Amino acid sequence: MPPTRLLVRAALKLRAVCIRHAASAVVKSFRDRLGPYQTALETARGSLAEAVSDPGAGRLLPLRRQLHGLMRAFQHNAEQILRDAEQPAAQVPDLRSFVEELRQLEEEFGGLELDLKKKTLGVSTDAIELEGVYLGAFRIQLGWDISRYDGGTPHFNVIAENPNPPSSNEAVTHPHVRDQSLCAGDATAPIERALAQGRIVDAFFLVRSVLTHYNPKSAHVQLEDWDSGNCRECSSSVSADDLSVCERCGYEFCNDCISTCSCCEVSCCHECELRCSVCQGWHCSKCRRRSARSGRDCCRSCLRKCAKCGANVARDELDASSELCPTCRPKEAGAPEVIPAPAEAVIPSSPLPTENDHECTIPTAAN
Amino acid sequence: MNNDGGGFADYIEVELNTTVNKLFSEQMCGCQPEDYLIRVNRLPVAADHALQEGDRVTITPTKIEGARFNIVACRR
Repeated sequence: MPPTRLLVRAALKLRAVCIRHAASAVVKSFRDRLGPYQTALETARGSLAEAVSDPGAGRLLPLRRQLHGLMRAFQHNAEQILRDAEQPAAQVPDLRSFVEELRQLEEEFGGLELDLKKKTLGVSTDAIELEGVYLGAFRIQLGWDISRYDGGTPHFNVIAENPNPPSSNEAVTHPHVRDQSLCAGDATAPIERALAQGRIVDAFFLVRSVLTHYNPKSAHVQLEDWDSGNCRECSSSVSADDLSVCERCGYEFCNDCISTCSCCEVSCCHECELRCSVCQGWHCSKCRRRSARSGRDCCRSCLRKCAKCGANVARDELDASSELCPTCRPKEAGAPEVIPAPAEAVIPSSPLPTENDHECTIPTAAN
Repeated sequence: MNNDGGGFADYIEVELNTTVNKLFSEQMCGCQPEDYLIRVNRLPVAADHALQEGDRVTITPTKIEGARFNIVACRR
């Protein structure tokens, strides 16, 4: 509870604002009610002058009726102004009442803060949750710097202490609060009356009643759309429950634009996934591998080590029996190809050549 | 509570020892007390609290429909 001296000083300021407002309301009522009669009086004056200058023209009787009607209407409105001035609304409560209002504000809400420099007083609500959407506590702040507010009336700001705005509009912290300004709806007139009559606590009660109640017919953002978001890829607006985060890029996607890595099973968007050239499955960037020999994209499940060099190659590039990569495979399997196979001897059917037979040759295997 | 909060606070006369509950029933026909904040001389009271001369009673609804348009802004 603020010290009594501060309460009294704030009460004095608030009472001065209320007195000013009550006085301006009476003046405004005077102008609104009696202003039109000024024109009527001028008209009547002109008619009277004409009647005086030319009394025989038969203007006196209608002029008399006109004046009677004018005076009756004027009297009725003047009496109404007097009645308005005597109403409780025009009678601003005494200083003690304003101090009691501030004390009650502290007891009802707790945490009353008075700032005479900024000309504000504020309290906090409990945390508010509407239809399962957590909005947090709100600071209800009343400012009485009349130079800042249109019409010279005090103004409420409603400040979210732990904002939980919808993804569609960060300026909205409550279905009926945008840019810290409350759209009071049905409470607008009662709040104005309460402030004008110095019923500060009633005004704060009314603000809190708006904050703790949801009007779906007139909300800045509907509560059902509060947790919705937009898909990064197709831009469609979907409920937060239907959005998934790509574990690689961190953006949110709808169910149609996100898939699952076939290796590690994390959620992955289409930009962050690659197709394995071996199994044709989709995998994320972390599970992506390159075959050491061909350089093809494949997932880690489709990589195998060469039995000789240990290089990771796509499994379809290894020899099925030797499990050797294409680089290692030719050294072992190619040896028979280098050394020619021994030729088969061909036995001629003719007699063996003698030493005198110069043209005989020993047939060899065909080259 | 009179004129749905749109009018002035007013003085009314009630019978001696009228309870708050009885006053509510008479002034707020068809309404439920649990939908209102009821204070007598700025304090919460029991339903059977007997009113005394000069008591100040406030009855404020706890549920009021807000809007998305500020009426003052529209008037501008």
